[in-house]
Amino acid sequence: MMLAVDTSTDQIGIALGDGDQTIAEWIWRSQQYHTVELAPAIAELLRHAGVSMDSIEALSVAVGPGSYTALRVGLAVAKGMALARNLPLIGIPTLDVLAAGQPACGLPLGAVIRAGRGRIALGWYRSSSNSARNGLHTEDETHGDWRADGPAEVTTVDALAKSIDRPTLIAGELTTEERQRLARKKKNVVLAPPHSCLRRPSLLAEIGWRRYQSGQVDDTAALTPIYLHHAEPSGE
Amino acid sequence: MCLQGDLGAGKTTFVQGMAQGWGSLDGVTSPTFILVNEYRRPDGALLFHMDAYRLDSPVAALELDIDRMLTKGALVVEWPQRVGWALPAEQLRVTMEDVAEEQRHIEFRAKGARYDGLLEELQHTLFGVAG
Repeated sequence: MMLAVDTSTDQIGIALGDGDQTIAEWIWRSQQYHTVELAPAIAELLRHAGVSMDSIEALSVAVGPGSYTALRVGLAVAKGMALARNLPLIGIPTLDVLAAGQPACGLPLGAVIRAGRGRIALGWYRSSSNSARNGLHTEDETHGDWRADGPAEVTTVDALAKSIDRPTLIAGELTTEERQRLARKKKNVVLAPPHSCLRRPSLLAEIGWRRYQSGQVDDTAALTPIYLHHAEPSGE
Repeated sequence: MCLQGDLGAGKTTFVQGMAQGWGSLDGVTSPTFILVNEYRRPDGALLFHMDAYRLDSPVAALELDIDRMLTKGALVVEWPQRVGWALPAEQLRVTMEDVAEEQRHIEFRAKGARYDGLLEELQHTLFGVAG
């Protein structure tokens, strides 16, 4: 069994899965402190699902980009559990989890999360199963096999809207106002529906499980979050 | 709010008064060694009190998650010049100077519409005139 933890932003997600089944998944927007909420929530999830800590074989954690404090809490808890119980730990880029939840549609994908002060972290993805075929899909085909297309960057919704000049799928944490601003580019922007804009910890568990099965585990002590620094403002 | 002034100018004392007026549940102490204090109010509002004296760059302030502080509450920063562009361009800048043992010269400067408004309000409260 894999325990997955994603605290990249105000949205916390935790899930239990074994590669074949998702046993439990909780996602909520934290109102207080991740430090206060995360560990008790994991204990509660395990209790709720009737899963004992002894049956956890490996942990996966979202490593960012995201907000500094939030990422640190998730990594600290995951590392603490991994070290204390001698479990393998797998770090997955946060935007990979978001991308993995999007359908294959033949469009480029812009995956976004909040980056503070009204800015967003943006990662571009391309689906290798680009030609969405009609008829039956296998599971892997309906969910595109998204590959990151360059490193994530910090930008703004306005800059993103300006840069879009061809049909593009946009998914992730966006405010109502930001969705409206992007929707004005109607012809070219396909906004993922709100449920697809959640980062699903069950997907984090699946991706982590595959990595675990193929032996690609991380060095627990050396694993660090991906922080995206805002660039120094120019012209001031 | 950026709070400038030499050692002994009374920055921490000033924040003590601020926090008291704001309704803090927590006592104000100098955050020189722990870098950031967090003060709570009964309604859940937060006031962050940063001492940037031991920070050596704007990036150090970003790594302390200054963005979270700016999102979750109000932020007062001592030695703001240490962390330069990590601070928002719009701010209230308060500069304190020693004039005599029990006398300080305090200068308020507003940058941005919100802070212009706050300064005007302060002027009105203190001196009964609008700026």
